Amino acid sequence: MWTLGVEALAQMALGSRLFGGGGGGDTLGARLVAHQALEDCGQVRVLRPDELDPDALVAGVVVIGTPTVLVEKLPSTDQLAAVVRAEEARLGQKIEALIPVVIGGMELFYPIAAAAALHLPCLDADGMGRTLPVISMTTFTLAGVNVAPLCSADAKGNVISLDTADNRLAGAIARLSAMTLGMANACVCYPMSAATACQVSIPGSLTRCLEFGGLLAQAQAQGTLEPVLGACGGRELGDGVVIAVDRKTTFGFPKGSVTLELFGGQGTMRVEMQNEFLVAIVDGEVVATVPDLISIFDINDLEPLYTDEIQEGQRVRVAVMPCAPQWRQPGMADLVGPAAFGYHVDPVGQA
Amino acid sequence: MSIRIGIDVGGTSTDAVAVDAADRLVAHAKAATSPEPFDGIAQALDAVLAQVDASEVTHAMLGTTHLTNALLERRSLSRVGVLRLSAPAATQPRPGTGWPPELAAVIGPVAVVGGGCEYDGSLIAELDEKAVRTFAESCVGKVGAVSVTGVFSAAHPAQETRAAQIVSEIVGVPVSESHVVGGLSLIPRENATILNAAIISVARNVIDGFHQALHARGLSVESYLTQNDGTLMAAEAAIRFPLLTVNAAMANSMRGASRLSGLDDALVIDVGGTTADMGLLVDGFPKQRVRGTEVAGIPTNFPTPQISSFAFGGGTLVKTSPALAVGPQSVGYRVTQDALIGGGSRLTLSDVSAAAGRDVGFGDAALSAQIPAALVSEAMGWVDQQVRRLVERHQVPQGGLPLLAVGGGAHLVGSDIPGVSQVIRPPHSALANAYGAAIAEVSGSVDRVYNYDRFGREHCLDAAQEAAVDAAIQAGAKRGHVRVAAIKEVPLTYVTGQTCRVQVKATGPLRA
Repeated sequence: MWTLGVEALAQMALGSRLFGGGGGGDTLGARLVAHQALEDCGQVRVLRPDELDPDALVAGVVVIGTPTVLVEKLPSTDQLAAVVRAEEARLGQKIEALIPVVIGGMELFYPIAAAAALHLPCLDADGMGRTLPVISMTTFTLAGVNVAPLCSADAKGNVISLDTADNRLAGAIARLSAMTLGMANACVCYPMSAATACQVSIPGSLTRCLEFGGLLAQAQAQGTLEPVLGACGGRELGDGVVIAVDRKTTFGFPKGSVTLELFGGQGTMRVEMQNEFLVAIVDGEVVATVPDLISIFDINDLEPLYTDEIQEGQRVRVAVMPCAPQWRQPGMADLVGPAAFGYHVDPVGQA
Repeated sequence: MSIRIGIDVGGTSTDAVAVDAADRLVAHAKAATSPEPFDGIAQALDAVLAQVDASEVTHAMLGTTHLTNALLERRSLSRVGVLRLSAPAATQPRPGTGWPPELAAVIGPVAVVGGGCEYDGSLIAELDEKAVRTFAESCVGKVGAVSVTGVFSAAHPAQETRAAQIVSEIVGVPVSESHVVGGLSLIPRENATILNAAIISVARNVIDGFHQALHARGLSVESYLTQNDGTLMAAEAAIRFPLLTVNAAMANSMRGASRLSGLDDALVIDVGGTTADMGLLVDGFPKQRVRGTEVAGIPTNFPTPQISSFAFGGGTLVKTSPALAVGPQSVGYRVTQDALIGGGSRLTLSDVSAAAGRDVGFGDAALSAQIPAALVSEAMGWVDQQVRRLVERHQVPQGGLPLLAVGGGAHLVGSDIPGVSQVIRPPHSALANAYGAAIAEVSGSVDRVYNYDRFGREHCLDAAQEAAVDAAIQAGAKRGHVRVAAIKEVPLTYVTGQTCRVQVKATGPLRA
């Protein structure tokens, strides 16, 4: 158990930005919602799942929408509290701890804010170890945990509840309903026992955000990614200048690619992106694939860049960090491998 | 014949220029920026007016660092009432959450009331006018200005404008509306709007002083301030949106360098007495920052050029023992007297530059002959390295770009820099910023979310461009001469169908 207060948030934000892998949205607003909740309601107890009674009910907290809307119409702790109550009513049982589902980008801060506002502990664990675009893309799904009942609420008191049997279908419906509900919804899902959470979640997620936020700050001060990559067994894929950015204004997910000319005549790298960076290819050879975390950094200050920030002429460093070991199980490739995003390439590096 | 006057108040010197209708430089003058800044303006203005026929002057443009300094030094800031239109949505975080305490003190009464828009422009709630009135009454006598920020106000500014009207009637102080100050993203836009409101009274003093200086010389002319994107804002508007002028100095230098050299795509380095700033010109305008920017430790997202800076300039001190160390201390504007070549006793980069055979524009180069050659080569090597680093920070396309070197310390910029195709020293380069102010154009911009499914992409882009052009004409541009300077489309994630955030800027020359 450790105690999370306001002073840790800025460093965690740097870590969560890193684990966004180019997506996850700007952390500022969400971090400040958590900041206020911690200031008003007190610090949050962060527990390992095995520190709870094995039968205790835990549930995941996420926000559903689009980053552009979520930074404008910020979900509040009232909205989060409303869905927690709705989920409890649906289950007829008290929720005793909240668990993050996503730790990249803004998502990290909503379970923390909700935990503070409701005086519940927050589990030091999550279901992705990074950001992925669909709520079904979790180690929870991989282990057969149902995302439903899933309750989602806008700020106006509208709550919907899904009782789906299939997590992918739930993800699709949640997204469609979010559009009608204003694209900035609080959501509670993946109800499970603490014992189940022990088995199916990625442990140490909040701790890792804090740790890697510190390591990234250190990397930025030293001008090398070594502190970050050394701590997780990651590697640099190359330095180069962006020579083309292709963004298709397509339906649903934005989809595109970034092309770099690598320095020193090392060839050309293409990074395929949707909400996140998903596949890296050097001169036709696939060198990294999702769910490993592909990041593109501004070469000057080593700030991780969002997919929509990449511009032609930018000098960047590309690196990959291995995904959480909990992903390395049968079924992973179908759920979160490159094929799940429509790329017909063999997964790399997760053997 | 129409003459426009451009004035740039920098940290060390105040420059004034006069240009004719063809943008030719017809007069210029320089004065020291005095502790009482209007003395410098008056002095430079008098010197320029002595060289032209004052009755032909039609416009006067001012670029100044007054407001930036007020923010950085937290001087003369007004207390601000903060109103957010969003309930029941976006009730958190409270305005000012996470601000440094000494600046949080500017925040007065705060209210989050019913209002705001959804991403598609429909309402979250009708504006709760009763709650706006209650808030306004709580502000009476307690604040010098008020900020109003509505969710998605860029797409639908009517509620902010209505709320501002109510507040203004009850409180009788200036009200800043967020849709004019910042871009999408509620918190940085609200922060920017609060800071904007906090410096309105300082801005009024600056502009009143400028007007008095003009009137005292019988000049009854259109007056403008330059803004962060290198375009003009009528002085009356600048009193309402002063934050949009706080980073104008470098934008002026860049616009001036562009016009003086005839190049629209180039890097610009402005080397002054103490610092060197570099920015990138794209199509004749300063490239704007993509990420938001922090002002005095507060995250904001008003438009501002992407500038990188390093602490070296003509007045930078060079220490020789125990080892060579350059800066960051500088004698600033006193360089012309304090430097060895100025007859003083301090070893500055200007002395080293003169010893290296560069034309530094003042003093007696012979006085630098005593500087050992090894020191000269080491110190100039250090400067070259800083310039290289600045170049690397900008996204220079394949094949390199020309580098325009301007400012009093431009002699420090060497001629062989990787990533730079050639170094160009435009004529009158020390006046680039005042000249940039004098030749600045007016602009209009749009930042809105459009649904392409409903109206079609072409139609939406046309509508956005038309709105930007209209905004430029509203701001004083010559009809028929306005062009679209930039269009950016960003698709919204997860929205089925094509919903896009569209940002357009249009600029044009002033109507005579």
